[in-house]
Amino acid sequence: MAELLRVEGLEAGYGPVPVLHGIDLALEEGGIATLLGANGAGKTTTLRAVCGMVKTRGTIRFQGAGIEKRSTEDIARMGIAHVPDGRGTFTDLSTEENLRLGGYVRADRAAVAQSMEQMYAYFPKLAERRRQQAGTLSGGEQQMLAVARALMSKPRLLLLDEPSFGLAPLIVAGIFEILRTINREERVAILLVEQNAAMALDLADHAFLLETGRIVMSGPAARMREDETVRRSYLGY
Amino acid sequence: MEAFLAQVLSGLATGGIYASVALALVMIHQATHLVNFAQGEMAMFSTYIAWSLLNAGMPYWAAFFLTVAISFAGGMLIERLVIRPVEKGSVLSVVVVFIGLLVILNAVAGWIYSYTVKPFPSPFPAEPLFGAYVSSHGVGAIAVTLVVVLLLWAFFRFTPLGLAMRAAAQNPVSARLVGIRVGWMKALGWGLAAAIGAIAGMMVAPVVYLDPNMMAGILLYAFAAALLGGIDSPVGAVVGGFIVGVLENLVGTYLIGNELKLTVALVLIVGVLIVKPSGLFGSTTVERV
Repeated sequence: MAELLRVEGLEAGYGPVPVLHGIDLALEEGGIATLLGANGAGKTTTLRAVCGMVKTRGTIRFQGAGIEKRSTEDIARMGIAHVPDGRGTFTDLSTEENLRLGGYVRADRAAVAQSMEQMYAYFPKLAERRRQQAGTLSGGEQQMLAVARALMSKPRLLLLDEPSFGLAPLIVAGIFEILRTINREERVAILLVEQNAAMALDLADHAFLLETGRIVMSGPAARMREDETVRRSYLGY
Repeated sequence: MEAFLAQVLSGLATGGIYASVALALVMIHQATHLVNFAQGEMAMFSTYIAWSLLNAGMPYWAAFFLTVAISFAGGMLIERLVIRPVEKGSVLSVVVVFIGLLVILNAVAGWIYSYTVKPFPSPFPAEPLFGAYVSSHGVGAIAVTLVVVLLLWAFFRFTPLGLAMRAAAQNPVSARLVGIRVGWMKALGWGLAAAIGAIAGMMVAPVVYLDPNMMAGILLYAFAAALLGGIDSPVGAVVGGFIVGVLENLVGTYLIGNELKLTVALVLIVGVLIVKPSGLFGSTTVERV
């Protein structure tokens, strides 16, 4: 299968504080990879670096093209959709306006309208909340909206930053189920950052373990799950 | 009673002008969260451009729309060249740049066109409407203001670009993530504000006559209007403009005399900031620090 994303020697940080110390990772077309690690390991920063939201060193190649010098806007237009931590909802706008913004960069208005219906089919709750101000949606609904908005751009790669954050287990299970469906039906590759390692390893086919800004282990998700250290430190049994 | 009505009506007419300038202030505030102190001088400069075009023999409405277009481009240019480099600095440095812009525009206008007061034509007939209570120009200016508000509302409500501008103002980080070019949205906000200011300038100039300082008082009233209506509400700016216009006229006529009218604006500004800082239509935002 063709390679979609390749990151090599990635360093990034905030001001004088370095967070990532040379990260290598790769993701195949249509694949699902997860980044595991404790708080502060650099998971969120890695996603931000891919999107050009922080200053970086090293190479990031997406569909063969170097994107490390591109602006966030350009990277979004190239087909990388990022669901940031905190969801990034446009809280004053309606659900429908949020979705329309997701499809902002696509020229074909009819196709955007079609995608919108598709999203309402994936997330019927959002259809009920069409005209409602996004800030008044529940946490779970806002997370659904964030994922749906990202998908509206027809991305090749979806970056998800802790989609389970602050949500009830049942809602999280529902969202992960939909992510699986979307990955299969739309052929969108997913790079997932998640605290809930068990669920993440269940969904992903590949996993990377981050510790203080370095990848300390990587491999197929199934094998990572069996690993002694991963099990004890991140799965908790 | 008739005199009272006349005062109210003429207050509405000047209120329409305050409303347009207030609207321009709100526009820039929406796009960049800054209050543009040079807004009045930008409008004044635009009016001089219109004056030049008219003097060159261009028909009124052609000159009107060309001025609006030039001002739009000029507003975007100012954002790109002057505001952008200091945008990331402290609020105070941006304010200093605004003041600098104000002084420069004023001086350049005086240098090119001299400080002599010039008449500026109105596109509306000279005969008064409604039994001499209010001039046709006053009614026309109100109508123009309302048309501008309606167009802006439709633009923000129904067009993808308007939606993108709202998104960029509200959450720039997320806006970038969906591919919106946030920098351009800000420039567009400046362009729109300059264009609205130009319209306000061309509507006010027939009343106060054209000179480089013509907007000084008006800008103060517009600040009062924008604050009263709520600095983040376009509708509030317009309502605030009309209220300030009428209030100014009535208080000036019946209470304190015309010489002290400008204090009405100052009292309003201070009053609103003390009693209800978010204004009549503004939204109260809570920020975590």
